[in-house]
Amino acid sequence: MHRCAFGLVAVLGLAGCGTTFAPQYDQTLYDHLSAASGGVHNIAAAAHLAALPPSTYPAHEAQYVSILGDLRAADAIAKNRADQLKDKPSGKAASLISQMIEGCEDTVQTVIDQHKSTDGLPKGAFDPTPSVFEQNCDIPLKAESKLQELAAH
Amino acid sequence: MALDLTTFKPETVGQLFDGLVSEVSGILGTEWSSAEADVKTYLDNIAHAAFNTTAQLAAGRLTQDQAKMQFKLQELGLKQVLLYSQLLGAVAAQKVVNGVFAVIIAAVKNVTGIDINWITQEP
Repeated sequence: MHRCAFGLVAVLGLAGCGTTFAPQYDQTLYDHLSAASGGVHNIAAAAHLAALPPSTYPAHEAQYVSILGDLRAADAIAKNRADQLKDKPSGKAASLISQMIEGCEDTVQTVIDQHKSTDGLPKGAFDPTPSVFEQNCDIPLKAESKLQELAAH
Repeated sequence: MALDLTTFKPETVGQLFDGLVSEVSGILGTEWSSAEADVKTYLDNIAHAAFNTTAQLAAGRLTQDQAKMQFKLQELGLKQVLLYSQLLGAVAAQKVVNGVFAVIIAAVKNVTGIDINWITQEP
């Protein structure tokens, strides 16, 4: 009986090395994504209260810089994690999260470009909440939280 | 089943949503079942946004530049949803692995007294 069990341990030991499909949750990455998501919701809320013509861009520039800074920091962590796992089954999922962060960056940059342009952002541009603008940056946060759920079980 | 985009003319948000679900589920294949609930909410939001943008552009409440930004955000949104769906496939697979190994780990520990919990840790 025990001999069989030890045999099972040996087999599982070998098999277990290749059975991780999702990367480890990263709290620092999550915190940067959470901060960026909060900033995106703030911009959306500002557009809910009033139109944001290009003349209002300078007043919001610091907010945009903060959002993009958090996204860059998050993506640096995500990319590093994906690089470390690139030859493992979990490498694909790690890379997907990095791509989602870049999708959020592209989203924020698109909004910045429109805010600075002649027409600016109309009142209610991101209504109703959650708008696609907000959703695009909530998705990588939700993705990282899925990894946290895995770690908790 | 893939949509025929040459004849697809949705007249309601529901028809557009059904079209998006059909297309995304076709792309995702077996990963769709693990992603369906979360992803339907996101796709419904994008379908409503696309319909509103079209209506506001037609009514002159959005300039072409402003509408272009909204459509660009919706395009990026669909990419985000597809990436997220694929991740959910990996998470579902990991849940299966965790569940199965939890049973085996418990069995080995109960039979031998040896804790092999380390086998599920990322090296």
